[in-house]
Amino acid sequence: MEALNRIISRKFKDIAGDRYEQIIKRYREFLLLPDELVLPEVNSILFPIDRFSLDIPEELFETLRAYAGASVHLIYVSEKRTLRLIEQTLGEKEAERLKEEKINFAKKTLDTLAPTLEDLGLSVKKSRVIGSKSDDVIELMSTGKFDLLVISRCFGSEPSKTSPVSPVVFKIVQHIESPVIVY
Amino acid sequence: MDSALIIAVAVFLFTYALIISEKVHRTVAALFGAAVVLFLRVVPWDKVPDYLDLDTLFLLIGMMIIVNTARESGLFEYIAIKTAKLAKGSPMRVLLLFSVVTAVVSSVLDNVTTVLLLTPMLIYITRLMEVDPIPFLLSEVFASNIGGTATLIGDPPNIMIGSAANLSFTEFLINMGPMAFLDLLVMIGIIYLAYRRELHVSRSHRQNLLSVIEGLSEEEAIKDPALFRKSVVVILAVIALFFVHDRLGIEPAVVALSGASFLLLWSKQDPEGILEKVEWTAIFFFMGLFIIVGSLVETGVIADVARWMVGYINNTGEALLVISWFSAMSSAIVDNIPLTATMIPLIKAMGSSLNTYPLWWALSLGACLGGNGTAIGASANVVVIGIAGREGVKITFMDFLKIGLVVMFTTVGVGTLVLWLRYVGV
Repeated sequence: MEALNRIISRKFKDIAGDRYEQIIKRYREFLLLPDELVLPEVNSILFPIDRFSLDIPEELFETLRAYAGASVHLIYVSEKRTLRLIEQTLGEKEAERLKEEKINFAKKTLDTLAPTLEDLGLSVKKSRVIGSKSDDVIELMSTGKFDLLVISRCFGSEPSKTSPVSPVVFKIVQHIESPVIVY
Repeated sequence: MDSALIIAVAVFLFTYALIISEKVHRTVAALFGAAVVLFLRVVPWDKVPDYLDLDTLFLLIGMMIIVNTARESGLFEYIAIKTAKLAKGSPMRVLLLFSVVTAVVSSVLDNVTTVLLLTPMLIYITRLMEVDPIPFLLSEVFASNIGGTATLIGDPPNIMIGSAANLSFTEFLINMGPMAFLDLLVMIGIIYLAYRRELHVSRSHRQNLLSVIEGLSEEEAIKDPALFRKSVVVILAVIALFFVHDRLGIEPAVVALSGASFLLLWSKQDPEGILEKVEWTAIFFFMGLFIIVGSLVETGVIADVARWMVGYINNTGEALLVISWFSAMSSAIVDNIPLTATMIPLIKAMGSSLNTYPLWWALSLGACLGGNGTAIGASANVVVIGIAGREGVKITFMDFLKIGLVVMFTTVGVGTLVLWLRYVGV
């Protein structure tokens, strides 16, 4: 029986090809189930940033205005591996100096961005972390404390011509179930 | 024994085995078989045009162009939403209306396109009603195969039969249409009896469904209103021409090709995009099969088998029973296109001692409705089961077989009875 079911799925691929994908994509534009029609309630937002993701478009702020009253956890993430690499190549002293510079830059960035978000009616909590950009964000989202993730497509690395979204962002969106705004 | 004859039979059996095993794509199997008989000169090159049935090939190509152009306009999504709205939230109405609409659309367009376009809508409605989608999906599959039986252009075996026996669109509709209508009613009755407990929905779900469906706008489905109007006009004109093609002395293939070229010209659609969507694998499958079956005709195998069969069959009534049931049983297991391609020359060869006219209808009946028997019996079955699987609805081979065999035996039985009463008498 299993062999026959395998034949059916092989025949389906031969007969329908990618026609079904095209049709279902078209239907999804206007066929939504009632629970899909309801906009998810957003009370808490995770907003990770780093040095690559500081170019924030005005449209994002306009979108976030819709969630006035929600709390935003604005978190600056620095990659631990980079610091370790510098420690191994340039020494502990140099790594410590760089770490300090990073902390200062993160603090400055958070202090600049937070008031803009507060002006939108959002309550902002700021924090800094040195860890793994992908794993830390995935872990924070998996706690269930956040209803929405707002992330730059450049988070983690510069975008390239072949990949408009950084691999770090790819990994994050693949591992979380909550809604995501990628700007 | 003649070596050409041995090669022809061996290639035919090997190709059939490859098609059944699904080890390679059926088009590859047919083209390989054709290449062998041409390479070994079992079919001489100058005889190839005689065996390639251009009526069938061009009719298929023409209709595929029309369907693919019309598809771009959102016509079929429009039909699906309109049908859903007419059902007014009643599961029984959904079953009835979708079966009728599927049968009607399948009688004009190919079954695979019909079910590909209607199944997502049907699954969506059953999700809203929170009912088991299986009876609705099965009914859609059976309706598609039954609807295809009704007309000359509804199913590839009918196109092949019409071309080989020179049967007109009207002749097909008169002979097969009433039978298909009766079979559709019988099939819906069987589904109702088998799944009547699952065809109920609570008042709240019905209200929920109604409010969501009423919120859908069929106009929203129309991507290109100008193309939509042009497609409807051309499809209606092509159907009208099919009704009178014999009186005008025009082949059905010419009607389809004219409609296709006119629609392309009028709609100004990108021809490359539309022609890319023509199912060339199906067209080449037909070409390969025509050459392989041609090798059996060329070497006299078909004539020998026909003589042997006529020796055991005493009259048209017996032939009618044998052909309808043999093709139904075979179509439940094997693709009905190679079966029809093989049966056509056989019935032609029986013409010297039997009235073959009713036998063409028997072949159409068996080849089209036999596919309802098993999950792999027809392309529409595979497509609906495949879509259901992707949407999380599991229909196993056995699930299908249990109801499919009942539908197949009943509908072929009803059809054979109608043919018997009409052409053999009580």
